Amino acid sequence: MNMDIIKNAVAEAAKQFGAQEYELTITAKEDTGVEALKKEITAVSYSRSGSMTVRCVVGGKSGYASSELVTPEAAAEIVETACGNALVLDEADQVGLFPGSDRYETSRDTAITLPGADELKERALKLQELAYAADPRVIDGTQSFVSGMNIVQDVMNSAGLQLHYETGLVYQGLMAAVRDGEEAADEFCLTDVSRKTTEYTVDKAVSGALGKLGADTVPSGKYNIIMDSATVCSLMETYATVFSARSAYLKTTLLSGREGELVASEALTLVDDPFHPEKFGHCPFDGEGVAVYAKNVIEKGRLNTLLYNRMYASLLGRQTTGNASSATGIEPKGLYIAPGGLSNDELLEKLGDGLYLTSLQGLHAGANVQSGDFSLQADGYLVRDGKKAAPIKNFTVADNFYQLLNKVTAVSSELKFGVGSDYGAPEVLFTGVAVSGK
Amino acid sequence: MLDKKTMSELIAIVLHGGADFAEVYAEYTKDNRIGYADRKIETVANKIISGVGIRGFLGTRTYFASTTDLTPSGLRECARRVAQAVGNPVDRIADFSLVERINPNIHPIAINPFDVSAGVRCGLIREAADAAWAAGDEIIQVNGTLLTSDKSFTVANSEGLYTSDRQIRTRMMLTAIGSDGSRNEQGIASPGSQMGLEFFDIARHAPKAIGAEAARQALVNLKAVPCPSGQMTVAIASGFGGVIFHEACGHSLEASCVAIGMSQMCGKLGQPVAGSKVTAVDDGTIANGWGSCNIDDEGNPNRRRVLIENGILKSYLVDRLGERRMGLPHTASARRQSYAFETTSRMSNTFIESGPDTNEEIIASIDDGIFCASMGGGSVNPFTGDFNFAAREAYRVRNGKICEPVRGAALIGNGGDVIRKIDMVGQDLQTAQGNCGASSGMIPADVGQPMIRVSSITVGGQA
Repeated sequence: MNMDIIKNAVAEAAKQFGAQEYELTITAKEDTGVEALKKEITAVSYSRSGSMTVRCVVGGKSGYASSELVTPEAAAEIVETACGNALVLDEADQVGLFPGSDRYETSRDTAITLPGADELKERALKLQELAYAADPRVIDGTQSFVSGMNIVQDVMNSAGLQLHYETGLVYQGLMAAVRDGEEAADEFCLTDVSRKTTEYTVDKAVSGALGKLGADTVPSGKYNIIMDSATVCSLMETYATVFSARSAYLKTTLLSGREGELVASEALTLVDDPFHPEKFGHCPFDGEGVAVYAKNVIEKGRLNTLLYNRMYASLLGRQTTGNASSATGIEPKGLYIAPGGLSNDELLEKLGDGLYLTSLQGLHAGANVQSGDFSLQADGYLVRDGKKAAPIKNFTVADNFYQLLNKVTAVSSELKFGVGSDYGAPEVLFTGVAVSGK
Repeated sequence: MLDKKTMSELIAIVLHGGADFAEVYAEYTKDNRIGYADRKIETVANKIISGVGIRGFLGTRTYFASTTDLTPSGLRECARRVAQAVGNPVDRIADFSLVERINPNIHPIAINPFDVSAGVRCGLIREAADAAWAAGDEIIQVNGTLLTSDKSFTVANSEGLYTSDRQIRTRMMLTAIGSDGSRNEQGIASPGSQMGLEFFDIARHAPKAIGAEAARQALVNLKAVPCPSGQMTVAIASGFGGVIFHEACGHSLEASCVAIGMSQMCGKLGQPVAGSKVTAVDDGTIANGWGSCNIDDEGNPNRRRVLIENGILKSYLVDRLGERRMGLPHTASARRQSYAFETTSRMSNTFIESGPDTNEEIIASIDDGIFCASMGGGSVNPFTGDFNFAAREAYRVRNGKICEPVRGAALIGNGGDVIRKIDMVGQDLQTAQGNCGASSGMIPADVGQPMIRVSSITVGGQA
C-alpha cells in the first residue's frame, strides 16, 4: 500500500467528518520464526501485518480509532469513528497536537534483513543439540525457537509532525526440561542473537534447570535477599505506574506530591534512559512525537521527577519528560537501576546468609499496585557464607514496593536489560523481607 | 470474509507445498474500549482487527503464516509462504471441495453494542462509577473500562470444512480505590458475558451493582490487617475461586503440554488425580457463556468435556495438532486470540461441579485458617505443577467463624498435590470471567466452582 494514498484518505475524511486536527500513525511488522523439539523442527511461522491509528480532534476533544486493514476505505471509516468518539468525551484536551521537537537524537536502529528459514532452522536445531549434549538429565520436552522481527513506524499530524522509526531484532530461546528420577525442573532463557551465543543461551537454560533439582522450601521468617536482575526487572515493570504522573494526578501512587523528597535508600538511583546501549530499541520520540531523553527518576534515594507526558505535565504545572505512550498514557522508555561497585559475587559475599531469588511468579495478581503490597511465589537459592548453597522453591516473598525502595542495601555492577524490554537492573540486595515457607 | 473459491485456492497452494492438511482462517473483529477515570470519560477508541491465518500440517509439523494484506496477491503470498516452509512440493493433491456448514447459534444477542450510540455506552460506565463514588468518602478514585467486541470468522480446511461463527462480547471492569490517608487499597468488579448490552439488565450485573461491589471490596481491604503466613486450611468461595482449578489442574490437561511430555498429568487417564468429591468440567456450550463458542477455532462444534469425574482423570483438552501427536480424538478445544495466532488447546468455561457439603459446614470445619471470598488471577508451570494465585478479598477463620479481613494473601502449591487436598465441595456453583494467556494469545475464559475447602496449602502474607 502506498502510504501517501492512506495519508490523503485520512486528510480528506478528516475534512469531511469535521476534524479540526488529526494525527496518523502507520505501523508495519514482519515476523518469522521456527520451533524445535526432540532435535526436529516442529513449526515454522511467518507473519506480515500492518495497522493504522488515527486521533481526530473535534471541538477540542480527541477521539481514536485504529484498523489492521490499511486501505483508503478503512482509513475513511476509522476517521469517521474517531470523530464520533471525540464528541462523547466529557472534557476538551489539555494540550493540542504536537508539532515536533526542535531536535531529535539520531537513532542507529534500522530494520534488518530477516534470516531465512534455513538459517533459523539451523540455529534452533543447534540449540537442541547443545542442550541434549550438555547433560544426560536433559529430556524430551526441551523446546527451542529462533525468531526475527522488523517494525517500521511513521507518524504525521496536521500540526506538521512527521517522524519515522524502524528497528529489527533476531532472538533465540530455549526451555530446558530436566529430570532426575521422579524430580523434574525447567528453565527458560531468551537472548538477542546479536549479543549472546547459542552456547551461552543453552548453558543458562540447562544449568538453571539443573540447579533447581533437589529444591526444598525454606523456613518462614525475615530474610536478607538478593534478587537477580531479571527478577528486579519483573518487579519494576509491575510497579512502573508508581512513577507515572498520571497516577500522581489520580492520587493512585503514594509518590504523588513527593518530588524532591527522599523516597528510597541512598543506595538506589533509578534512571530512565531511552538510549542506553544495552537495551533494545532506541526510538528518538515518544507516543506524542516529543524527543525523548535520559533523566534520573530517583537520585541517591531522592525522587527527582515522575514521568510525564504533555497532558499530565500541563495538569500538574510541569514539563513533559518525553514519556508519553499516547496522548493520555505514560510509560518508561528505558528504566533501570544504576549499577553499583560490587560484582555479583561480591554482592553474595556481602549478603553472607540469606536468599538469592531467580524468579517471582504471579505478578499480575499477587502484586497490588495501589497499596504497593505484594505476596509472590518465588524460586532461588539458599545462600550460606556468601555462596549459593541449595536450591529453594514453593515459598512466598511478601513486602511492600514503597518500603522495598528503602530496603535497598547494595547494588551490583552488572546491569542487564531483558530482551526487547524497556527495563534493566543489576542484582540488588534488600534487607528484612518476609518469607513464608515451612 | 473470504468466499469458498478464494479459500479453496489458498488451501490448494498449501497442499501443493506438500502439506497433508491445510486450513485458512479469516477474521473481521470490531472492538470498542471506553475508558473512565477521575470522574470523566477519558478515552473512546475503536479497533478493527482483520486478517487471515493459514496453516499446513505435515505429520506433526506445523507451518503457519498470517497477513493483514487481503488483496488477492497478498493472500496468495501468505499461502505460498506456508507452502515454501513445508518444502515438499507435489504435483497432484487430493481432491477436496468446500461445503458450507451452518452452525446453530446458542448465544442469542438482544442489543448489539455497535448498534447503540457511544453516548449511551458511556452512560453505563458513568452509572457504575457514580455508584462506587457514592460508597463513602474513603473512595478517592474510580477507574474502569467498558469493552465490547463483535468478532466474525470463517474457517475452511482441506477436509472440505467451510464454516463461520460470530461472537459478541461485553465486559465492564471497574476499580475503586480507597484510602485512609496513608494506605491505598483497591476493589475490583469485572463481570462479562457473550451477550450484548442486555447483559447489564441482569440485576447482579447492573452498572450500579458493579460499582457498589468494587467500592465495597476496596473498603473491606482498607480495614484488613496483614495476612498471616504458613500452612493453613483454606476455604475458597464460589465463582472466581475456580481459578484454583484453572491454574492448578486445567492448564496441565492441555494437549499443548501433555503431548510433548511437559505436564504432570501425562499418562494419568483413568487414574485418581483429585479428591473424590471433585468433578471438573470444561463446557464450551453454556448459552452466552464468556468462554463459550458455537464452534472452536478449527471449526468443530463445541461440546461439554468432563475432565475429572469423582477424582478420576477422564479427558485431556485436545486440538487437531494434539490429536496427531497423542493419538487421541480432538475435543473441540482449539482456540486463538485472533487470525495472527496459531490455534492450540485451551480451556473454555472450566469449573468444579457442585458437591455434597454446605458453605456453613465448610466454614464451621476450620479451626484456624483463611476464607478467600474473592480471588485475583494466578499462574502455573504445567511441567512441574507449581502454581500460585492471589486473594483480592480474604478473611481469617477461627473456631469455625469468619473473623477480620486480611490483605496480601497468596496461595501457592503444587497442582497435583493441592487438588488431592480438596476435601469439601459446596453446592453454590458460580462462574466468573477471566482472560487466559498462552501461546495462542489472550482468550476469554470462565472459571467456576462452588465453595471448596483445601485441607492444607501454603499461605504467603506479610505478617
